[in-house]
Amino acid sequence: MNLVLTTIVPIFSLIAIGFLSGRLRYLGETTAGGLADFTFKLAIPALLFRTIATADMPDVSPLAVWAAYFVPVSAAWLLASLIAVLVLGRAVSDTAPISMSAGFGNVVMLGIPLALSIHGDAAAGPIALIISVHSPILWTAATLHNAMANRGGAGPIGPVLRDAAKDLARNTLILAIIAGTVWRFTGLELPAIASNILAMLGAAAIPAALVSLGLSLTGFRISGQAPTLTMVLLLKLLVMPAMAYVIAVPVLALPTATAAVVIIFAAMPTGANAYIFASYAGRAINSASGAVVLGTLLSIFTSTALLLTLAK
Amino acid sequence: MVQVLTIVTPFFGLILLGFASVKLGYLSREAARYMVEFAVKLAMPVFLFRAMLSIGELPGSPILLVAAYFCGTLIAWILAALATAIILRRPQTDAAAIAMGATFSNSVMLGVPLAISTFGPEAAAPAALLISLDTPVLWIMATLHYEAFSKDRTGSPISALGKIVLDLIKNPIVLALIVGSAARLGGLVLPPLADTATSLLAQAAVPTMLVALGASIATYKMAGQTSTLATIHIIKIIIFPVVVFVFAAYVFELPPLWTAIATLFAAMPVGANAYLFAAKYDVAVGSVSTSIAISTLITVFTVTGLLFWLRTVV
Repeated sequence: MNLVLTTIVPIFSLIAIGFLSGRLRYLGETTAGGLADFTFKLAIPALLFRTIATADMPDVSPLAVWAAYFVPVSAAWLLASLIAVLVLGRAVSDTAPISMSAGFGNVVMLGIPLALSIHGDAAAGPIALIISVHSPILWTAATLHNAMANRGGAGPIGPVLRDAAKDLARNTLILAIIAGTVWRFTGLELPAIASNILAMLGAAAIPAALVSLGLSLTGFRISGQAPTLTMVLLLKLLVMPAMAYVIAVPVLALPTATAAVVIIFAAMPTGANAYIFASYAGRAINSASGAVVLGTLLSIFTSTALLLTLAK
Repeated sequence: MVQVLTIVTPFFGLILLGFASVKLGYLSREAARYMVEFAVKLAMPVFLFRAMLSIGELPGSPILLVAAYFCGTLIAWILAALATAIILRRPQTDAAAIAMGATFSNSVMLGVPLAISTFGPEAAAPAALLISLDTPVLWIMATLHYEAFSKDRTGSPISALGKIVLDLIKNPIVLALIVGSAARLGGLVLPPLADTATSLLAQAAVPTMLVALGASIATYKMAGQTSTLATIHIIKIIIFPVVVFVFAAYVFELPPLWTAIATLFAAMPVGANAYLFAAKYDVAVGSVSTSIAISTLITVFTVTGLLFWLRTVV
C-alpha cells in the first residue's frame, strides 16, 4: 500500500499542479507547448538514452512483449469501432478517431513515470520496446483506418508508410531509444561528464512531463456523447489492462517487472495523440477530447487499483 | 580540481545545450520563454521552499552578510557610474542601466544551484538571503538613479518604489523564501507524501533553469559599444567580486562559507533583470543584453577557477 501511495500521490499531484496552474492562469496556456517541447526533445530523450544505455535488461523476447501489449490494443481498436457503429449507431467515418481514443494510451507522459517509480531500471527494457513502436504503429493504423472508412478503400499505401517512416526518423524519443541501444552494444562506459549532464536532464523529465500533461488538460473539454465516452473509457481503462494481464501472466509467463510494465502501459488513459488525430481527421473530436481529460481523471483510481493488485 | 570540474561542467553543458538548441532551431524561441516560466514560477520556488526548510543554525549575523555584499555593490555601482561619465562619456540615465549590468548577478538561475551543489545545504541560508534582497535593492537603486537624471519625469519616484515592492510580494521566488523560512521557524515537517511530491517537482528546477538560461541567451540581440561592454565586464567579473570578498573576509569577518557564497554570487554573470531594466527605460539596451551572453561565457572559466580556490579556503 505504501509504495503504491508514494508512487500515485506525487505523480497525480504534479498533474494536478499543472492543471490548476493552467486553470488559474498562473501559467499561460502556451506554457504547455513550450514545456512539452523541452520535455519531449531534451529531457525524456536524455532519460531514455541514459537508462537504456546503462540499465540491466531482463532477457525477454521482444515479440512476447509486443504480443502482450499489441494484442489488447488491436482488440480494443476493433471492439471500439464495432460497438460504435453497431450499438451506438455512429457513422463509419467516426470510427478511426474513436478507436484511436480506445487504444492509444498515454504511455510516455504517464506510463514512463509510473513504471519507473514502481520498478526502477528493471522497467527500462520493456518501456523501450513498447515506446519505440507504439506511436508509429498506431498513427499508421489510424491513418489507414480513416482512409478506408471515408473513401471505402485505403488507396495507395505507399504515401502512408512514407509519412510513418518520416515521423519515425524525426521522433526524438525513438531516436534516443535507438541511440541508447547502440551505445549499449558498444559496451563503452559513458564519460562522467556526459553521464552527469544526461542524469541532470533526465531528472527533469518526469516532473516536467507530468506538469505539462496537467497544463495541456486545461485545453480539453468533456463534451463528447456520453455513450461513446463510456464505451471508450471502459475499453481503455478496464478491457485493455485485463487482456494484457491475461496474455502477459498466465499465457506468456513474462518476468514480473516486464509483465508489470506491459499491464501498466495497457492501463494508461487516452493520450493527447488521440485528440490530435481526431482534430486532423475532423471527426469525433469531442469524444477524443473527453476521453483524454476524463480518462486521465479516472486513471487516478484505476491505476491505484491496478498497482495494488500488481503488488500482491 | 576534478571535483569542481564534475560540478561545473554539467552546469555549463546544460546552458550550452539550451543555447545550441535554440540557435539550431531544434527548440523554438517561445520554448525558451515558457521553460523560464515553468522554472521560475513552479519548480524553483518549490526547490527553494524545500531548501529553506532544511536550514540549520546560522553561523553568523545575517546583517553582516547583507552589509558585506551591498557595500561591495555600492562601490561597484559608483565605479560604473563614474566610468560611464568620465571614460564612456555617456549620460547618467545610461549609467543606471550600465551600473545595473555591472552589479546584477544571475544568482537565481546559476548562483543558487552552483552554491548548493558545491557547498551543500548549508549554502541555502546565505544564498536565499542574498537573492531575496538583490532584486529589490538593485531595482530601487537603478530606478532612483535613472529618475534623478531623467528630464521627462513621468511618475514620482515614490510610486515607482511602491510598484517595485508590490511586484516583489508577487514574486514566486521571494514568496517561496518567505513562506519557507516561516515554515522552518514554525517547525514544519513535510508529511512523507508531500515530501515526495515536492521533491519530484524540485528535481526539475536546476536542469530546466540551466537549459532555459542558455535558450534565452540565444534570443538576445548582440549589439552595443565595445567600450561600454568592456566597462561592464571588468567591473562585474573582476572588481565587484574582489571588493565583496574584501568586505566579507576582512571588514565584516564573515564565517568562511558565507564569504565564499557572497564572493561566488558577486562573480556570477550578468542576470536577466539587468536587461529587463535597460529595456524598460530603453537605455543601453544593446550593451546590457549582450553582456548577459558574453559574461556567461567568460564566467565558465572565471567561476571554475574561483570555485576551485574557494573550496580550498572554506
